[in-house]
Amino acid sequence: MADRKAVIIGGGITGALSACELLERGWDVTLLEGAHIGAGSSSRTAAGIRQQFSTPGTVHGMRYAVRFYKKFGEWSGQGNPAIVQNGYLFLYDDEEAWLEAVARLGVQRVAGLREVEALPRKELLAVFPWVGPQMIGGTYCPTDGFLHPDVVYNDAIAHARRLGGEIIQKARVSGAMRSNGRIVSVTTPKGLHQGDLYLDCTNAWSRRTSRLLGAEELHVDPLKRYLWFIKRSNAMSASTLSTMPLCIAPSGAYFRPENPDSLLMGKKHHTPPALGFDYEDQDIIEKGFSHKEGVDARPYDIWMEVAEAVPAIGDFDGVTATTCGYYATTPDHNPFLGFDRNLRNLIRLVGFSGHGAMMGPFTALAAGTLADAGEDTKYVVLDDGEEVKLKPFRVGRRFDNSETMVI
Amino acid sequence: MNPDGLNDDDVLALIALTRVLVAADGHLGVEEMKELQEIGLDIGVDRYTKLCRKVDSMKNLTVDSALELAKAVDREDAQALVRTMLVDLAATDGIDVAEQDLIDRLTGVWA
Repeated sequence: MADRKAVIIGGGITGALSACELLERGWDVTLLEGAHIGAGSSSRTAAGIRQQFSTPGTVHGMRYAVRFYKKFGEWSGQGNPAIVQNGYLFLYDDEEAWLEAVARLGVQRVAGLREVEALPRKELLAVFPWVGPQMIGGTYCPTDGFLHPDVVYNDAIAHARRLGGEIIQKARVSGAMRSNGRIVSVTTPKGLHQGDLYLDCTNAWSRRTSRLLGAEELHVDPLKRYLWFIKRSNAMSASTLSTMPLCIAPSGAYFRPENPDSLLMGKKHHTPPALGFDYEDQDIIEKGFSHKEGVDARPYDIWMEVAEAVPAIGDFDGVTATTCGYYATTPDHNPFLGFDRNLRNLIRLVGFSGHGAMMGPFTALAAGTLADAGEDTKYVVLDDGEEVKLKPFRVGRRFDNSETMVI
Repeated sequence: MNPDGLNDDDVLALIALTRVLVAADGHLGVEEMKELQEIGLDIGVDRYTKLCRKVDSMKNLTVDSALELAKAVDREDAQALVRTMLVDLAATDGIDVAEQDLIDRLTGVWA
């Protein structure tokens, strides 16, 4: 029996993959989920996975994540593929944004992402003839794409169980006993749970978790994010839609195939942080955001922006569904991956700013590295020997090096 | 000399050096990106993009390979301009040790 016990709070992708990582390292693991596995942001994500970032450490981490997700079915023992590598295409229609993209691409290539390409207009249209003629270029990485998030959290949890992990659902943490700057136990409706180490994987719920545990309140703001689905028409073939990369329009609207007959789309929007939100609030659709409200509602604006990037989508049959959830954003759009400064046996893995699903494997590796070290480490060593600095993700960092590839 | 006086070899070296310089401190900041954008606009978007693609087609861009390209910058006024553009770029978020080391090595290449 393992002599090191970890208690993980949160049963989304971060919690599930971290549980597996710790179990594989010989930890005894209990995972506590307040509702059911995947009930939070993990089941409400566009689930894009890209290696095109401006922080080299994130590029390395995402390259590891892509390698991990490619072998996910074998690793989990379930055989289900987790990733669809249709690629990721950023589209540009003005020179300044295009030059920024070309500059970022240089960093990505120096960081080892050799597949990413800057495609000027002519090359862009040759590869993607459905792109709107006003686009002046695109950056494309064919090994990027999107995930099946339900496969990731469900199969990872099944794997964790096989490895001997204890998974407890409907076990919302309501408090903690502390002694000498350490958590001794946490309380849930299912009882007290003691451990040597605790991992906060509650992401958008992080501020509340901080208060319940007596931990440092991190600058993590929950922001509502919506996704909509559009029904395909004969304007585009099912095979073209199915093989379309995840695309980012110049306006910031993003879209990808959900299935051969449906396109998923979304866009960042400005709503105040929902600091006191509850589980049920995840599904509340604010006024102006439902597809049922007619053409003056937000989804129709975004549909038009998408149609400017890919004109055929403008002739699709209509918006058929709205879904929503919370992003957990930080001021620099990088997550916190490190030990809490108030509680010495608490690791914070929160604030993914919309990148939690894609960062999951790297986050889990960081969790395992930190757990084994018992303190913050300078680096996480990837499977290819690459050392990724944890400084940009540390708790207590200054927010002066923002990730600039935020959608 | 103005940026439009740089020939393709000069610009290739400049692009390669900017790429390794930005990567040297482990982060591409907003100010650095603006500076790179200015460089691109000075050189011309199409020409800059074309030469970026040429640099990106190199199998493995490292500090050493970027400094090798810098040997092709043989006019003193072009060297001075490239060096100034690099120092300006590095200075946007404070010149750190790795960036200063690259600039020193570049000065050595052209000595």
